[in-house]
Formats: sequence, C-alpha cells, structure tokens
Amino acid sequence: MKNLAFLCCFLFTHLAASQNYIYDSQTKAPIEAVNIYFDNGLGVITNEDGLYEIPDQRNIDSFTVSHLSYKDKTLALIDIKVGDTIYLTNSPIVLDEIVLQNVSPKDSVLKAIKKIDENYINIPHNTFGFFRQSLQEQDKGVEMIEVEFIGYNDNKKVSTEIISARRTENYSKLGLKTHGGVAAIFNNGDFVRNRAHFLDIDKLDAYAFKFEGQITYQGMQFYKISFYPIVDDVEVLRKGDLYLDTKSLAIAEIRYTYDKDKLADISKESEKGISTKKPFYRLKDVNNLIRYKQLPSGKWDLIYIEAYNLREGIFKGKSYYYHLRAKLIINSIKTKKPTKVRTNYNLTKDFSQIVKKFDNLDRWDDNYRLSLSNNEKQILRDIKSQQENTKSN
Amino acid sequence: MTNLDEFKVEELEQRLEMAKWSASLSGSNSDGGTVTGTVKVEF
Repeated sequence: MKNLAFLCCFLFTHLAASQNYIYDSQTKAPIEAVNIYFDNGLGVITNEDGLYEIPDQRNIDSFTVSHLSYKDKTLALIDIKVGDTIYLTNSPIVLDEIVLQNVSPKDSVLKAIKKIDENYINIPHNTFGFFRQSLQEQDKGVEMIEVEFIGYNDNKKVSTEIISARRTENYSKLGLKTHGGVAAIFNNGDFVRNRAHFLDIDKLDAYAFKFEGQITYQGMQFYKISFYPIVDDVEVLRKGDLYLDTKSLAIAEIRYTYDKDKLADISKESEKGISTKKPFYRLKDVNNLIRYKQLPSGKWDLIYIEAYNLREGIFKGKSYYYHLRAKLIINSIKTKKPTKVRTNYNLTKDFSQIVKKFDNLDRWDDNYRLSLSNNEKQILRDIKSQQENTKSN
Repeated sequence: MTNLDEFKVEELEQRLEMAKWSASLSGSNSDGGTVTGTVKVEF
C-alpha cells in the first residue's frame, strides 16, 4: 500500500500537466518566449511570467529549453517537480570574430533571402498550433479569443482548419473588433516565406544592416544583425534584429518595432479623415517577434509569432488606448503523409464574429499549449466583472 | 541538438475528429451591425 501511494504521488508529480518556470540566473527575472521541446515531438513556450506547462503525456522522458539569448539546457523529466524553476545563463555575444571575417551584413541578408527556398520546408506539411488574441482598453481586458488549429502548408498557401475556438464577449466601449485571425497571422506574419519588407530583395537598399555580434544557439553559430530604415518613405518604418545561422544563413528569428517618428507622420496624415460619427484609430506602437525552428530534416519552419500593437482610439474628443496582443505557437509539425485541411471559416469576415462566444468564464481553463500569463488571467477577470455588471444592470 | 520531432499520426487524427471546447465556429457569420471599428494585427 505504501508503495502504491508512492507510485501515485510519483505519477502525479511527473505526469500530470504541471506548471513550471524559467528565470534568468542573474536577474532572477522570468524569461518570456523560451521554447521547450519535448522528446515526443511536442513543443510549448514560456509566457511573460516565464511559465510553461509540461503536458500530461507519458511518452515524455526529457526536454530541451531554448532561447537565442541563453544557453540551452536539456533535462530529464524525472528531475523536474511541479513548480520547479529552471535558471538559464546568458549566451555571450561575440563581435570580434565577425570583424575578423570581414563579412558584409547586407550581403549576408541578401544571401539569406536567396536561400529561403533551400533552407525552409519545401514539401507539403501539417502544423498543429494554438492562437490567442487579447484586447485591453485603457489597461482593462475587453476581449479574448483562443483557437486550436491544424494548418496545411502546400508551399503556396496555408490553409487553417479550426478544431476548437472560443471567445469572450467584447466589452470595448468604442465597439472595437479585431479583424483577421489565425490565417491572417500566418499569411501576414511569416516574413521569411513572404519575403516581406526588409526581406524583399527589391527593398533592401531602403535599410541599413549592421552586425551586432555572433552567438551560440543550439550548438550552432548565429549572426545578430540589426536593421533600420534609411529612406524618408514613411512606409519603410520597421527596425529591429535578425538572427542568421552562420552556415546555412537560415533566418532563425526576427524581432522588430516601428519607427515612432514615421508612425506619428502616418497618423498625422490620416487625421484628415477623422469623422465625428465614427471612432478614429491610430497605431502608436508595434513590437513583434517571429521565430523559426530547424527540424530533424535540417529544414526550418515557422514556430512562433508574437505581435503587440498599441492603438489610440479617438471618439467625441475622448482618447482610448488599446493593447492588442496575438500569440501563435506551432506545437508540432508533421511532414510525413500530411493531411490536407481546408480553412473552415470565412476569411473576409471579422474573426471575432465567426468564433462562437463562450460565456461561462469560470470554465475558461488554461491550456498547456500556450499557458495563460498573469496579465491574460487578469484580462479574463476584467471581462468576467464586466459580464456580471451587464447582467446585474 | 534536440529538434521538434515528427508529430504522432494517431494524435493528429484524433484532434481532427474532436472539438474540446463547447464553443466553436459560428454558422451565421453575421456582422451584427454593431461593428463601429475593426482593426487587424499589424506586422
């Protein structure tokens, strides 16, 4: 009996979906967007609290935690208890080697673009993932949407079949709705496949590229290259960092924001169209992350997109701030005998109108595929409180 | 190097079959007439 109790305890500790954390060893701060790859093929990611969940699956023995700015760690699942924190140490950025190599950053980016077809999966495949979009108005949660989907990428386009989806009511005072959804994130956010903006060969001259250093990541060497616009065109406004595998020149990660001065110019221009009858929205900030992952075949594929947009809504002389966050994680990829799926919703409609409402917010459970952060839990609490206010009125 | 591995076919097909949540896609696609502003995620 004692042994049985021990076994039950053991199973609970090691096999139940457990919440664990990843922190920076020096600052003791949580690390966001650390990929966790389990040896059964699944992958999850830490949220802004450094939280990730180990799924309740018995075929996991070990996992690797991986982030471009930190040294990788591989751990046996048996060594991890519920609530454990893993500390990662910074991966040093070295500049000397690049200076010695006398490599041009712009040439490296140009070669990287030319090698996209060679470096990334070029056969039809399925992706399995999770998408969450949340909206805050004046720091108060007003809407959340979650979608679990299967994607089919035939190398020309991506179809997404939603397996399950749910959204809260939208409590935006201005009635702000979010257009698009998971397919739009795929279609607009996969900069490498789209050869978008600073990855468009014809537009490379509009940007300056600079080596920031070289880092070791997953046993490989990566160039960190910063880029920023050098032309007056207000549409050329993205600036950030690219991470390139020094050997294959595959682009592993892109982090960028919008130039604030150009954004201000754009919104000033659009103010001419301000109407007193409809709210007017202007973009104030964009901060996005796009990450790719090398598969066992050596090819790379999209693994994670995180987008943050700050907008100001103006109506009848009053200003409202909107924080729109979208996260899309690919938990697994299937290249063998992929299943064809079709997009099962109308892409031209407002996404929030297509997904059915899920009113019982007490039952809005967490999902290990993309753990809810404290901020997202607060958004749900805000929405619940507004739901209760509406009912009592 | 550990990589994201191939996905298990059985789980794939199971997930295709089942919807876990009580909410799903709406058949009506109605715009409801309440939309006073729509925005999309900017990249």
